[in-house]
Amino acid sequence: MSPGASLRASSRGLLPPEAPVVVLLAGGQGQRLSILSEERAKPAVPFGGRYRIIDFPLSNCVNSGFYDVMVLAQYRPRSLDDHIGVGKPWDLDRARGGVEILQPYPGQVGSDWYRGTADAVCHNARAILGRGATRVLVLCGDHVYKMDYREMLAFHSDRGAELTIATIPVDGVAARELGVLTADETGRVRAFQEKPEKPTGKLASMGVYLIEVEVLKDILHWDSPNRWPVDFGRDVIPRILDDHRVFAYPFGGYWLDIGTIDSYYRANMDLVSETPRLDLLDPDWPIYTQEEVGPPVYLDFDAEVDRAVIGHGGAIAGRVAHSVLFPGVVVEAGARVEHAILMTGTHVGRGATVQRAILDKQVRVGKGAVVGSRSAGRANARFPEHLSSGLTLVGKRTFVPDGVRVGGNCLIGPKVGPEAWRAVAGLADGETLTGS
Amino acid sequence: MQRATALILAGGNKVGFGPLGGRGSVADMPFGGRYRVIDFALSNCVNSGLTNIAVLAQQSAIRLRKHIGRGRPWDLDRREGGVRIIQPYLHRNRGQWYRGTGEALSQNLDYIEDSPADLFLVLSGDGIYKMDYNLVQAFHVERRAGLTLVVKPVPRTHAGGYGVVEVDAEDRVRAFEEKPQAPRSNLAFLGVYLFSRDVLLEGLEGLGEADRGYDLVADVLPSLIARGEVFAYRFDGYWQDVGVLSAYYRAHMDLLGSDPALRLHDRTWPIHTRGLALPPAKFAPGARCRNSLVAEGAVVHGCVSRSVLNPRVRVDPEASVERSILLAGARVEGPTVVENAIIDEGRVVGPDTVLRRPADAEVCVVTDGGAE
Repeated sequence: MSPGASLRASSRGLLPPEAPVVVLLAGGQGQRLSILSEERAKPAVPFGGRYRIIDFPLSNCVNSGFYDVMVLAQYRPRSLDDHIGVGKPWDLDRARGGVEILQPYPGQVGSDWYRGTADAVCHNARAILGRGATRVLVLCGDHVYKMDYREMLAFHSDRGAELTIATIPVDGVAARELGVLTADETGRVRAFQEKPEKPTGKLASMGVYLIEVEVLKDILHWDSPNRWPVDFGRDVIPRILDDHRVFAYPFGGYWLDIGTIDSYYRANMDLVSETPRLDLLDPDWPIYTQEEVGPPVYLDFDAEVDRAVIGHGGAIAGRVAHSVLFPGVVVEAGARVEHAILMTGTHVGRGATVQRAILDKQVRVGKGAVVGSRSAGRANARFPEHLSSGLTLVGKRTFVPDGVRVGGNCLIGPKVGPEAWRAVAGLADGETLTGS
Repeated sequence: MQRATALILAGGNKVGFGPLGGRGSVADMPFGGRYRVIDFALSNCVNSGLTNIAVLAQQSAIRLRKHIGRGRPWDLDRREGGVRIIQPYLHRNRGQWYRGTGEALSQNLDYIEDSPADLFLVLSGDGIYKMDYNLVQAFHVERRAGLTLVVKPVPRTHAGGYGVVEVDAEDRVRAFEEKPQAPRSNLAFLGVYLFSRDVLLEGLEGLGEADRGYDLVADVLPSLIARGEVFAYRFDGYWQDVGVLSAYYRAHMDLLGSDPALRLHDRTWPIHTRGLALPPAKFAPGARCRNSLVAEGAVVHGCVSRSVLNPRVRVDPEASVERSILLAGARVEGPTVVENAIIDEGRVVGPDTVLRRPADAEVCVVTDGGAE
């Protein structure tokens, strides 16, 4: 069931103090996303043939009727600025409330870069208080999900909670990457472990917190910067369970933390499956994004498309299978694109092959070139922690010359031009080529 | 260079659309899988650097207003100029619906007088074409014209469907005949006028009053031609008025092919329109889709060829769609064959249906009342 089916979004939205002010943490570097987040913040990483990751929490906010959103950025904020702007696509350019992008600045109380989630909130305490809300909803900009925060708000009010954590059921290894908690039958949280070696709880925190402002002031020591905690999961929540009413809100839907290249790839591939876990066509819960416009995708006489998601403005004359193509992608005649993600404006030349690969924006693949390999092969020699499952990654505005062969687990770019290829005939599995 | 003020006539009704007619105007009809007809005139203006635009609406002003709004998708929400939509309004002594192109302008004389421009581009909102109006303007200035008509050479046998213009060696218009039986020229008028300010104001004087008539072509043009002030600018690009169903259908087919008559995939001349919050088009296992345009939010399971699919269209498994236009939200449930059809917004065809055009028609239309 769509999150909006029971509670239709009101376009007017709730106003403070009824509605919480939203603090959307968007400072993530996403180091495990390698070159995809080298020049953009992790929340600004493109997703699903059209979107950026941050579109999901932002759209959730407005679909829930929460129109007062503070986006806390610090890493590569221009990518977020360009994307969000004044918030028009989300209807967040408002006279009261609306979206605001905040960055750390010298002279701010506790002036320094944000060290963690709680620290980032502390830095902006004054701005948060200034919004006049009695509650704060803390969100993370790295997550793909559709959630009606009003249901969590109702849960929070019903329980008389001071802090409510949205949770998903979890078991096994996956829990080691998350905050794991144990709740009693009323939903009250009794234990919380951040990224535990041996998880004991069955619920994982989604990094979505609804907190009473008065409680927040108290538990974060807003007035004394030298006592500011760094992280909600590590430093705050485990210590307040006895003295405060902390509840776990069970969220039943699809939720994904885009952590690694492999999870990013799988989440995109889920969209081309016949019944994706994430329904982007749901009229009750639209996901808004930058309103770039282009003609419909054109499929030429010899085009073959099979299990593909293809953005507007594209022109397909070759074969595209099991792939996600962003707007304006060109696949020339005789070319094959399989099990791949091609971002905006990427061009695959005549007779070229792209398989098991992620190509960032405006990559040019020359005629007859082969990028990626069907078999897993050797892990990337320089970045085995990022590339070992066989995926090849090509950075923004990189050029792959005609006829060149690039294997699996390879990393190229960004901005690798023709000159970088002068001494390189091709890349074997696990090799890396950068511009400098 | 002085920029013209553009006056877009968007009052064309849908009488020629048969079952697809009804409320609204031609200008707000969906076109090309993603656009509305008026997007072409608006985008031509913006791409030509004209940012002072009035859209003269009559029918369906609500839909036009919703689509155009403050003009943001065309970057026309400006502090100065921009786009405005003008509807007939009550004057102190009279109130009158527009009875013709001339009266649409003469009733808005105050707007024209208040505009600081020296030139006024008057154009139909029903045309599908890409035109740089700067070239028309340069021609107008160079010939010292009072009025420039944009014309296109067409086969003489087809010219009878248009206003036909006869010119001398200097491109000065000598005669104008509306839809003549025996055309004496192959130059068809495209409904695009560029007026010098004084000529327009003088021409509109008294228009709409009992003895003056209310049409630009019939009631303003003849005297200007007699005075030798009218010139004809030749346009060689693609142009199609889509005011009738068959032309609307054919213009869609002209968008298809590897080298289409009108290319939408053109970075040098983008056609702007309102954004949609929809995911990319999706092609399911077993989908076959050739020589077609497929818009956002469409989901294709079946077989599609030589067709234009608008947003949120669904073609289910075992459905076959050929040479057809599926408007927004239309759905074809398999097993079904659809050929040479236009399926109206949100209509469902199938399952177990064969839909083909009747022998005497170019296209069949599926709308509220079923197939016609």
